[in-house]
Amino acid sequence: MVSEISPQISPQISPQSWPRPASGMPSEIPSDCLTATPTLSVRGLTKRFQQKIAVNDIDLDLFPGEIYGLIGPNGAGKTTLMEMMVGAAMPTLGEIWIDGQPFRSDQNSSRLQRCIGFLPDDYPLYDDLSVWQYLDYFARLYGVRDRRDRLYDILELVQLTSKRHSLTTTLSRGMKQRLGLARTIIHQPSLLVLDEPVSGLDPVARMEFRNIIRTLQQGGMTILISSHVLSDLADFCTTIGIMELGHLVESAPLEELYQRLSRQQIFIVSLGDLADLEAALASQACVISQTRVSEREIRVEFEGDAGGAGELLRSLMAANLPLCQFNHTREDLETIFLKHLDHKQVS
Amino acid sequence: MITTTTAKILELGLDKIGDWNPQLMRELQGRLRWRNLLMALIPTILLQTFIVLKYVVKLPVEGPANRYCMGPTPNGMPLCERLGTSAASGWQTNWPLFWADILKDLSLVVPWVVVLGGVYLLAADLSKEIRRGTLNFLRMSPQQGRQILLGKLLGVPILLYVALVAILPLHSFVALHTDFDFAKILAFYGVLVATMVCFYAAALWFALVAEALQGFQPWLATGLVAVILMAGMQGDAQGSVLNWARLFNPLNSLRFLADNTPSKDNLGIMLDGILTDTHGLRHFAWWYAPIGADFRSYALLAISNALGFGLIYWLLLERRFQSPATSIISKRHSYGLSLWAAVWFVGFDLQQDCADYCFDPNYIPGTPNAIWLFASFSPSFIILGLLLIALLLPTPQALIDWARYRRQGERQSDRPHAQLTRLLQDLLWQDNSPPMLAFGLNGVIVLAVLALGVGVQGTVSLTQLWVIWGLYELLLLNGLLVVQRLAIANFTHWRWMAIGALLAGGLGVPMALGLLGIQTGTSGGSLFLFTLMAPQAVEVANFGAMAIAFAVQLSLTTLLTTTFSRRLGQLGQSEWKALSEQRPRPRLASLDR
Repeated sequence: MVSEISPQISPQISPQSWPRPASGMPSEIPSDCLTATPTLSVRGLTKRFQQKIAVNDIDLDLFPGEIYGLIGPNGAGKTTLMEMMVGAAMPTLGEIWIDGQPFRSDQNSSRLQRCIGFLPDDYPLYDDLSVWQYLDYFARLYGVRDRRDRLYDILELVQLTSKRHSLTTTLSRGMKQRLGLARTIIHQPSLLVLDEPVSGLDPVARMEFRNIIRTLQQGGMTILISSHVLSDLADFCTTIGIMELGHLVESAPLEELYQRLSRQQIFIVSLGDLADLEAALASQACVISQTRVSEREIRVEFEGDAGGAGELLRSLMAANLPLCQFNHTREDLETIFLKHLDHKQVS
Repeated sequence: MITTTTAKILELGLDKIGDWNPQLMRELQGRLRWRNLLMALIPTILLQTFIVLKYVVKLPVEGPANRYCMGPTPNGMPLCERLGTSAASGWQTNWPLFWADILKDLSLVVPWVVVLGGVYLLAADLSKEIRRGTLNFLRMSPQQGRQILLGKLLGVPILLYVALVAILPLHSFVALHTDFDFAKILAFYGVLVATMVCFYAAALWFALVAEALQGFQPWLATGLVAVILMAGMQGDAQGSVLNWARLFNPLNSLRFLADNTPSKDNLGIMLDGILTDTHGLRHFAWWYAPIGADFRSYALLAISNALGFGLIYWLLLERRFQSPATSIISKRHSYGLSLWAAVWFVGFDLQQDCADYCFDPNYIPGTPNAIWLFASFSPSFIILGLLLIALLLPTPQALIDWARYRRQGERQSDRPHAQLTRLLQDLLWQDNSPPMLAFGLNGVIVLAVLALGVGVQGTVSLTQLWVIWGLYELLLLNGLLVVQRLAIANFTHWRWMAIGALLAGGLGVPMALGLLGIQTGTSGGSLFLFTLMAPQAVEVANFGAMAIAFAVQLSLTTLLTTTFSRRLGQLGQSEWKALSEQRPRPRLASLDR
C-alpha cells in the first residue's frame, strides 16, 4: 500500500532550497519532520456517520512549503477531512501518511503527532492560565527543547509578547486566535492544519494573521487551511481544493485554476474608430469574443495569461491604434467558486 | 517579601513538576492560588476548631456525673471524682475517651469529603474538557494518555489534598493520645488512599464513558459513589454480595480500633458510632475465611479490593482516553474483569451461614443445594452479564467495518482453515468483532470460579450447577444477540430499544407469569426455565422439561446468530461494494508533478 505513494520529490521545493527562516521562526524544522516525501498524503479517505458520507474517497498530497487552501460550502466535509488528517477523528476507510509514514491516531504515533499542528475553527483556551503558562504547558506536552527561547520567539511572531502575563480570558478575539496559532506551532510542526482561522476577525486582525501565515510558509511549513474568506486564500495559497458533498471536486495550483476556470477580460478604450480596433482584435487567436461596452470601450473575452495580454497590447500598439486604456482583469477565486457552485446546482 | 519568596519557590517547584508531568503542572498552576488555598484551608481549620471545642465544652466542670469522668458508672454515666481531696483540685478525666471522640468526628468527615469531593471534581473537570473541546488536544499531543490522566488524578483534587494534609496533624495527634494502636490508624490511612485511587479512577472513566450526559456526569458519579459508601455502612448483611460494599467504605476499618486497647473496657462502654463494631463486622467472611476476626486481614482485603478495582478502572480509562470510538472494554480485559469480579462475587455469596461456622473450627457445614446457591449468586451473575453486554458491544459502524474488512480479507485468503482460525481469533481477541464468543468465554470463566467455590464447599451437585448456568448463559447470550441485531438495524434509538428489550425479557416475562398465577412449583412452572428465575424452576422441573428448555434456548441462539451474521455480512458486503466502486478521480495537481 505504501508503494502506491512512493516518495515524490517536488521539483520546485526541496529541503535544500527552503528559504532561510524569518525572525521568530524556528531555526529549523525538526529532522524527524524534514523529508523529501509529501508532508501529508491521503488515499481513499472516507468518513461515514451512520448513513451519511461526510468525506468520500479523497486522495491528496501536500508537499513541503505548500499552502493548500480548502474551500467549499458549509457541510462540504472540510472540517471532517481535516480532523481525520490530524488524528482528531478516525477515518471509516482510507490511509493517511505523514512524512511517508502511515499514521493512525489510535495507535502509538506520538512521533508523528509532533509533526502536526492543528487549529480548529472554535478553539477553546484555558481560562485560568496566563498566555505564558498556556504556551509553556503545550511546549512541555510536546517536549519542546529550549522552551524559554522558543516561547519568546513565538510570542514575538504572534505579537503577544506584551500580553504574556495576561490571563487568556482577557484577550481580544484576534489575540486569542493568534494565541491559538502560537500553541499550534509551538512544537515546530512540519504540517500545519488551520480550520477557518480568520472567521470572525476584523480586517486588521486578518491582515496580521495573513502575515504570520506567510512567515510560517517561508520557514518551510506545509499548511492546509480552510476559509470562507477566499480573497485571503488567493493572497497566499499555492494550491486550492474545492470540496462539495464530501468530494474533492477540484484540486490544482492556484494559477492553473485561474487559467482553467477564470474568465479573463480585457477592457480597451480607444480614442479612434472602434471598427479598426475590432478588426485588429478579430485577427488575434487569443481573443474569444469582443463586445462594445460604450462608444469608446470594448470588452474582450481573452484566453491566455498576463504575458499573452502583454503580447496583445504590443500587437495593437504596433498597428498604431490610438489606445488610451488597456485593463486586463480576471475573475477572482470567489467568482470561480460561486460559478462552480452554480454550475453544480444547474447540472 | 514572604509572599514573593513563596511564589518563587512555588514557581520553581512547578517547573520541576512540569518536567516530569506537564499535565500535573497545568492543573496545579490553575489551582494553587492564594485565594483557592485560603478557601481550602480556612474551612478545614474552622472544622477542626469546631470539633475540638465541641468536646472541650463537655469536659467535667462540676459533678456529679460526666461522660469524661472516671468514677463508678451506676446509671450509665461515670461519676466524677476529684484528683485531690480539696474542692479546688481538678476532676479525674478520661482523656483517651475525650481524644477518641474527637478522632471519631474527624474520621467521619474525612472520607466523605475527600472521596465524594474528589469524585465530583475529577468528573466535573474531565466533562468540562470534553464539552469545551480541549480534551482532543490532549489526546492529539505526543504525551502518553497515562501521563495526562495521572496529572489529572494528582492535580485536579489538589485543594482537597491540601485540606487533607491540613487535617492530618490533628488527626494523628489525637490518635496518638488515645490508647489505640497507631498502626491501625496508619492502616486506615492506607485504606482511605486505596479507596481514593479506586473511586478517582472510576470517576475519570465515568466522565469519559458517559459523555452523552453533557455535564451531568459529576453529579451522577458523586451520587453513585455516595450510594456505595452508604451501602458500606449498612447493618448485618452476612453471606451476601452486599457485604462487598463494606470494603469500599474506609470508615469500616475504624471499627477495629478499640480492639485490644489497654483501656478497652473503659472505652468500650462509652465509645459509639464508627469506632465500635455495631454492624457485625466481626463476622465478615470471604471464601470462608474469617476476615473480620483480624484487623490486618480486613485492612489487607480492603486495600487489595480498592487497588484491584482502581487498576481495572485505570486500564479502562487509558483505553477510553486513547480510543474513544471503540468498545468500552477490550475482549482481553473483559476476561480479567470477569475473573476478578467472579472471585469477589462468589467469595461473598458462598457463605450464607458463615456467621455460625466460619469462626468456629469445630463447626461442620450443612449441605446447601446448587439451586439455593445459584439463586443467591444469580443477581451478581445477571449484573455482570448485562455489564459485559454494555462494555463489550462495539459501535454499529465498527461492527460493519469489521464485516467489511473481513470480506476484504477473505478475498485474499482462500484457505477455509486459515479463515476459520482468523475468525475465531477475531471473535476472541479483536475489539470490533461481534462479542458473542467472548461473552461465552467470560461466562465459562465465571462458571469456573463458581465451580471452584462449590468445590471448596464440596457439598453441592455440580450437575445442577451446570444446568442452571447453561440456561443463564444462553439467556444472556440471546439478550446480547438481540441487542447486537438492534444495533445494526439502523434504528435511531436502538440503545433505548435494547434496554427495553432486556427489561421486558428479564423482568416482564416472570412478572407476566406471576400475574397469570403460574408459580415455579405449580403446573406450567417449567416456563420459568426460560426466565431469570431458572434456578427456582430447576428445583421442581423434571429432566424432560429441562431438556426442552435447553433445546429451545439453543435453537433461539442459533436462529439469532444466523440472522445477525447474515445481516452483518450483507451490510459489510454492501458497504464494501459502495466504497470500492471506482469513480473518476478529481484532478490532483500534486500527483501530476
